[in-house]
Amino acid sequence: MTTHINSIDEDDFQAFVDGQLSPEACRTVMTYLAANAEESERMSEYHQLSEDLHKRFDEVLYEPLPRRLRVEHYRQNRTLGERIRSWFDVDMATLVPRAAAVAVLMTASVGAGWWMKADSIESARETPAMSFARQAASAHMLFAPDLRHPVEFGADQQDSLMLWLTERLGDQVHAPSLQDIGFMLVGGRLLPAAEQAAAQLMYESPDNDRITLYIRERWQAALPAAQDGSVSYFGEGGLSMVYWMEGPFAYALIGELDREQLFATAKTIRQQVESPAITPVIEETANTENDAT
Amino acid sequence: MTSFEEMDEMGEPKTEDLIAEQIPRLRRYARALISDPVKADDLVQDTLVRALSRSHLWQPGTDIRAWMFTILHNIHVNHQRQRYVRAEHQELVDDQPEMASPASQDHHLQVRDLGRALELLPEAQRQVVLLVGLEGMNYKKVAAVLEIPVGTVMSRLHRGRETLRRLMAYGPASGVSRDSKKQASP
Repeated sequence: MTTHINSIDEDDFQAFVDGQLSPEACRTVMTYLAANAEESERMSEYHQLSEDLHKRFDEVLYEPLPRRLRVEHYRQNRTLGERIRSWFDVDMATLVPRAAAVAVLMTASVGAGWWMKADSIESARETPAMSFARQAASAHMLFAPDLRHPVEFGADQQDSLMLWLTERLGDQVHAPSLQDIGFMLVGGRLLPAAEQAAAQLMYESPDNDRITLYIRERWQAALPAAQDGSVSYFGEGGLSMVYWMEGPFAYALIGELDREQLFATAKTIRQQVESPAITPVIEETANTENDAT
Repeated sequence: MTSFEEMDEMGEPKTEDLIAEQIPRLRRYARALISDPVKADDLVQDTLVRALSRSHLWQPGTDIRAWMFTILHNIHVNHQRQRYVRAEHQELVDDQPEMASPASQDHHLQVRDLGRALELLPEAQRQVVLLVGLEGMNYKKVAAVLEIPVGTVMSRLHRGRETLRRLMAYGPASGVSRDSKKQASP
């Protein structure tokens, strides 16, 4: 295309700066600029502007990426440890800076302490919540896919199982009935958890989807009733978990359920854990009937 | 029941890698677009998650950078709908360049930091200036990413650059040169 000086418009000037002009048009603009110092100055300033943008922002290209911006973080084939760590990292990276800012406003000392704690997470130190979640998820991933020996004691020996778990965990353990929401108790087992004992109860749906309830001594003293028992959720790559502390124990419910299902299930469990007296009776009746037939 | 081993095989490492390559650039752009680095990373994270979950929609052979910038822009628009606080301020500067002139005198010596100057720019102009000046995208691609006509890209680019030039006070004569010789622009 032939561009005459008269037909140079602002678009041509911009395109000239950005090197998006045809060689011919480019020559035309250059001829014009050679005779017009003011416009020439303007062009060089536009050009300077783009260079300054690079000077100012290119450093971002070389900053190490936080975990949440790395593709690996979202890959399915990460180890369980990586998954759990990243669950908590997402938590820290997105929630803590803002929450900490609020806390600083409230009480300087508490806020600062919280901030420091979030910082030290980066150095891979596990909080009690993290190690609890990791242990619960490990146990789930180890036993839930097991076809031959998913549990030590089957549901047919529920009474012995609950007695045994109660004895080893040091407080009354109940197996909530999830029958109404489509999960039957498979059984349970005792597990080591740091220097304590933990219990895992396994449930199964008619489609053979398994969920596990992990129970261990709580790591934090009971909070006032209004705050205690608040549920934390983590989910990623199909696997999700909720955990909460209530009464003498901390509970984690794990499975490949969506968030709503998992919360609904946790709610059913909590209702029964709060008033456990009903549960064993129902289960016993069921067992007796089975024995009779 | 799906085991985690089975899920491994469903991954598409190739597209994933291409997506990963774009992250630093998206991050640079987001940082320039949004001054708050945490919010900028939030935007990139949302973009990454969406790109990964929709990686099957990307057509191999097409420009993955433009695809991801489009995603980023769409998410950003949604975010903006929720936080409209800044927008009011932006419109003031956008449609009333005359009013911005006295301010530019105040900024004549003050706005040395380009990041600050960018913040004063209406966002629509900032996006175009950054995609062209920082990302080096051609105008057609910018138009596609922002879903606006090329003509709009050009006028926003011109206006954005003019404002920045004045805010940054490039050159001794810059304040004078601006209005004197405007070439016939539509």
